[in-house]
Amino acid sequence: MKPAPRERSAPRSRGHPAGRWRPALLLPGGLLATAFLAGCHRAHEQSAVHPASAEAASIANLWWVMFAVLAGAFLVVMAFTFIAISRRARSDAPPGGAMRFVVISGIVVPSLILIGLLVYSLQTTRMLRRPVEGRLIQITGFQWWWDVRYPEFGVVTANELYLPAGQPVRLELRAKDVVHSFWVPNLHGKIDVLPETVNRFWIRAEKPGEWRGQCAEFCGRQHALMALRVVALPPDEFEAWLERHRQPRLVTAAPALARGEEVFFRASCHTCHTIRDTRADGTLGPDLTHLGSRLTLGAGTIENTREHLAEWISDPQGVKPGNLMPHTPLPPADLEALVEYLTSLR
Amino acid sequence: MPRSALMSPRSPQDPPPAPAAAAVWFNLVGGGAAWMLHLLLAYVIAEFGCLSGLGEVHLAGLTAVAWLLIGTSALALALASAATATSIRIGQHLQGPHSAKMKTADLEATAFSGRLGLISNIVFTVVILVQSVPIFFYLREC
Amino acid sequence: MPSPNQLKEFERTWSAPAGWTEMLAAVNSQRLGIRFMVTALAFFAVGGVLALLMRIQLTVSDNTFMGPQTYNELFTMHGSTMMYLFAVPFIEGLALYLLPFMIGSRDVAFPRLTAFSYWTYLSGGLVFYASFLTGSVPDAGWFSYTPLSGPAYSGTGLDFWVMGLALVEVAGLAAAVEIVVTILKMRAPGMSLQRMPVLAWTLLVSGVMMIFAFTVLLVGSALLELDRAAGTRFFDPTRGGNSLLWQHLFWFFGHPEVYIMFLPATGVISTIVATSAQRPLAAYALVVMAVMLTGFVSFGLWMHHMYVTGLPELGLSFFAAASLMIGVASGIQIFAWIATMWGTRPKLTTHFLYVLGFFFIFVLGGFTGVMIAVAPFDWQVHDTFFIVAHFHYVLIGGVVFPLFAGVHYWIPKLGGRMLSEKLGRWGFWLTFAGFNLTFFPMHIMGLLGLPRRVYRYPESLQIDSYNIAATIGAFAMAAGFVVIVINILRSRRKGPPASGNPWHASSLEWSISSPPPVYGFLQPPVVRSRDPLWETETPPGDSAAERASAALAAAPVRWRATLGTDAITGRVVAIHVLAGPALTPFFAAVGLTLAFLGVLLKSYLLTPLGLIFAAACFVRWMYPRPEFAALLRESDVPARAGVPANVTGTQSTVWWGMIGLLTIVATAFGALFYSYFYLRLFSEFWPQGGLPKPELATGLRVYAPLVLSAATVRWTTRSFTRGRRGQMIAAMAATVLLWTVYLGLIAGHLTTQPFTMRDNAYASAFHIISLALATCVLAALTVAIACGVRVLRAKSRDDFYVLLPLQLAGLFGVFVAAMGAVVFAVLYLSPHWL
Repeated sequence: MKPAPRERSAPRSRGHPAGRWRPALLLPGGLLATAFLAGCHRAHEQSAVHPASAEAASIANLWWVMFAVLAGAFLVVMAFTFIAISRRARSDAPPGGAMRFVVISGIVVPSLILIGLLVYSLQTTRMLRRPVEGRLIQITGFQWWWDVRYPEFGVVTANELYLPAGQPVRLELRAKDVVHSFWVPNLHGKIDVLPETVNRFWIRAEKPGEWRGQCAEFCGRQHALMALRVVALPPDEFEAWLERHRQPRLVTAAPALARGEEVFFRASCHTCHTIRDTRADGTLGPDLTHLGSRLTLGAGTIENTREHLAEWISDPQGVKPGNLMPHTPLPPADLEALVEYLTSLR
Repeated sequence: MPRSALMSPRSPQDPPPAPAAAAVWFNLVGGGAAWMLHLLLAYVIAEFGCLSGLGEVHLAGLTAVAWLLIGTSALALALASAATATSIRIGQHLQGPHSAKMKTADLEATAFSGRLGLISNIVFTVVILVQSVPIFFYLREC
Repeated sequence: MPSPNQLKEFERTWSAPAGWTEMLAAVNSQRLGIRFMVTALAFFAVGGVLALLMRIQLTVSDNTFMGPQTYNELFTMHGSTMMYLFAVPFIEGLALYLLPFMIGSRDVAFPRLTAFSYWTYLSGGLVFYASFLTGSVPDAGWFSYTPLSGPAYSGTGLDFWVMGLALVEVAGLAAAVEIVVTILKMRAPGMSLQRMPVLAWTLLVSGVMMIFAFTVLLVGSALLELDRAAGTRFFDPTRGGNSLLWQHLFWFFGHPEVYIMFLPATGVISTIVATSAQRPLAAYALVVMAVMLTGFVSFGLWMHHMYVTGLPELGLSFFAAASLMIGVASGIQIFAWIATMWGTRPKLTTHFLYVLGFFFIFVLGGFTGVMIAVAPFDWQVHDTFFIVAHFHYVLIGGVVFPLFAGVHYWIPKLGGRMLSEKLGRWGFWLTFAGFNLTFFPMHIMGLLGLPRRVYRYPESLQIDSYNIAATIGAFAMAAGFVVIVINILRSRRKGPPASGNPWHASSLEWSISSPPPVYGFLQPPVVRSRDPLWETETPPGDSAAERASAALAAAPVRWRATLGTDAITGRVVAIHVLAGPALTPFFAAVGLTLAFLGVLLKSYLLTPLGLIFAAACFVRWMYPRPEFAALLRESDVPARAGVPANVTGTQSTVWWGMIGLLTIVATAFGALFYSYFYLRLFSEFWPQGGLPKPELATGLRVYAPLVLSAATVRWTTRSFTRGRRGQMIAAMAATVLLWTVYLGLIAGHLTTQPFTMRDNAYASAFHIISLALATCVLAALTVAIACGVRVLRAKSRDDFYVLLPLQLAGLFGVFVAAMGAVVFAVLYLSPHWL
């Protein structure tokens, strides 16, 4: 079966109006009100029912079909229950006699529905897991952040995943410590990230856009704050992004930056972090070679701004309690220089 | 197999004994055992057959894994059918002229286990059939 | 009619002793059943409070009410409490209380084991909560996935979790064996299989499932604790271990666990539906079949918790098919209930309202269950709030609502007073509405991208309003639970007295007064149909059954006894002697707890001391009391009843208890072998780490004495039955010698291995499997020696106190010898072929 070519499978950029009403379908009676309260006019950037790829769309289709069939079945069962207890029937037994009634409505009909669902789900499964060609991206789960590498280009980044829009990419996922799970619901289902084996997966974004992914397997203290941004760029912009990020940092001779770099080493940041072309080669924390261009800090915890960066360096435990980055007390001037230096790494 | 108890010649002069305990038990759990055998074998064949490269070996257009799985399904269905046949025989046996020889309580209990076994064996046969559906989606590759 | 004197003495025999020891020594299933249920409800209340705290934290996005550590501890303890400390123990309590009444027995098969089970459960629960005193609370979830729960990533909180869990599982296994043997051997005369109440059927199937499922979890948690405390590598991916192995073991337990709780709940529903409809349950045989089907198939679903682990999808698809087909089993039950109620216009009593609430909630939860059995959809919603919504629908709708229906239905029997219908309706509507308001929006939250087990979520998910609704609902539900408790407490003083059968129900428990007397049935009932209390005419019963029943009317007066019947036909075959109050079960549980605490506190001297103390208690427990034997010999009750009192072999409940124990041990070895081969299949080299393959010759030398002992054990039992005393003593001596030789050889063999159990996962598996078998042989040796002493001192060959122990020791002996052959094949042969 080919991916459902319906309206729903169309890639959806932020705020597509057709995506908003669907959750309301879920609601019976009294809960409708809450659904409408939630129906505000913003995009759902981490949602299984707002697909942005053919794969996520075919899963969403599966969901809506199952929802329709089973909601119908639910109403039928409730109707039977209501009739059973509310009417005094002329005969004692339900239509067809008790035994036949149970066999037909309890065995035959459910079996037919379930076999239909099984076949439909197997078709979807086959469609989703077909092997594809595409760029390779290696993702490593750490407590509590993502290391992202493009091995064919020597590009290393963290907590963000850039993709060429319209092209599939192959993922190789592995955990460094405990079990994590990679999940970008707008693009595809999830896949566990295991410490003992590499799991292979693939995703594709139909059109340029930005989504949020999150670790979905409980992985310890800060499981909640282990997100990643997924950005699909038009292919030419993506190539440009790759090209820029395969370069080492931009070296500028500004004295403020030299001071910042000196603070970086004095504060021992290099024992955990790497900045290519310097002697900083730590591997416990994210690679900082292009930190200035990152969208977020602390694996999606806060936006990457100068103020947030200063806050993150001086009080990482306040921003994301339990994370492995130690508290680093620095004089204000040093902190200022360090932030200046780090934001220059683009 | 409790054949001796079930297939002994039935002459009025020489009434057969009550269904052997083994037959009653096989009738009760045979279908379930067939189902369990099917699931475990199919899982092991699929998981390790595909990992070990058996999925690449093709025989008459189908992979070796698919053939093994089809064989497993046939085996499990044969076992479940044997259990169903046992249940049917227990039912017939109890309706025969020899049932008077058994005590009523025993007769009732055995008849009930025969009925229980019959429906459970039929349902397990259906479950095995449904469980074989996925094989047809993976005939040519893992 | 028994004389007043006889009645008084009879009642005294069945009463608990007076004084403070009464608390600790009581063994009556009625009393312990209530204790189980009350304790479970107390844990339910605590678990509920934890849930409310979590709901407060999640009310709005980026809330700062609590930090991540606290939240992780709360959801771990909430899940563990509800799954391990509330649901299953409550059902065990319900079973212990009701089962004897429903099947017409005076108590369960092993009264002292009941007490042991309760004390072990209680101490397990206390160990769980003792972690709050140390400040290191379990924080890896109720499922404790490795390696997060392993030594490298978690603190002592996890030790509390493992130890508490192990104690609760031991309690559950004891209760399971108890329930199964009671149903198989102690039903009222005439209660053949087809006359058994459906609740008994569900408990029977659940009990059998518990034996398999709990054992596997017990093995899994033992391996986890070995990793944590002894440095083995089963789940350590850096040394050849495999974190997925834990997931397999856990879910092989975890999925059946759901049905272990759900099946008895459906039994309660079947009972109440039939009573409310005033009509026998429709399609009884189909319902029983559905229960059996569920029991079977639930063991073939564990992989659907692992759809996203990246395992080959063809293998997963068989589990998807099985997961869908279990829906048929529920369909049968639902429509059988509808058919039963059809056209009867049942009265909307509180307990029936809960049944209707169950219909709504459970069917909805069942349908979301069908959805998540479909692999691609599960890839999206796995580990999201959709799953949280699903399993709360299934567990609260499918288990808690039926249990509350049961509580409202049986409270008049249990306490002798009726509940207030008005308060009952308030409680129902608050819990029902609150439940749906809490959990329905969670489906939407999951689809909109909220993962489980997160202490905060960003505003950008746009789910704040659903969360506010959920929190309001949670408090409404909590208010409903408070109303229910108030209703129960109020009825104790103000409720109108209940008649024997206020609902005009059909099952045997309603044939006795409310509340029931300590001995249950003054005269054991004789059953002639499936719904004994609805019989309009009484057909002549089996004369043997009537005779036995009459002989046991208010008798025997000096010892506790009930009638034993054939498992299938319900023919009366024996009088089972039941133990009276005893302190040994309590002390055995204390010893076991001390042993576990020793591991927990890393004071490894305490562990062997605790175990020895527990073993001593068990020996005292088993030791026959001569005055009691004399009492039995003098009694005329067996003669009057026409059936023997001291039965042996398959007629004896103890023999079946032994079969239960051996099933547990065999399952445990099965789980160990599974782990061994699982590790092997995912290792490139085997043995791992360049270790040499085990030498066949060495293995043969070590295991030959053990395997040979099968012959000497058989020889012992054979020469005993043939009355050849000299031969028997020789055979017994040979057995003891062979086992001692084996133990010596294995000790030497293990200590001279070039590797230790800490080297890699292969080494761990090799050592632990060898040690597990050696422990079993040591136990068998102890039993054999004790048995030998008893045989040598016995005066007569037919003495009950000799024959039965010898049969049991023989079973155990043959079992360990056979297991020796299997262990040899796995550890020494398989590395050469595979």
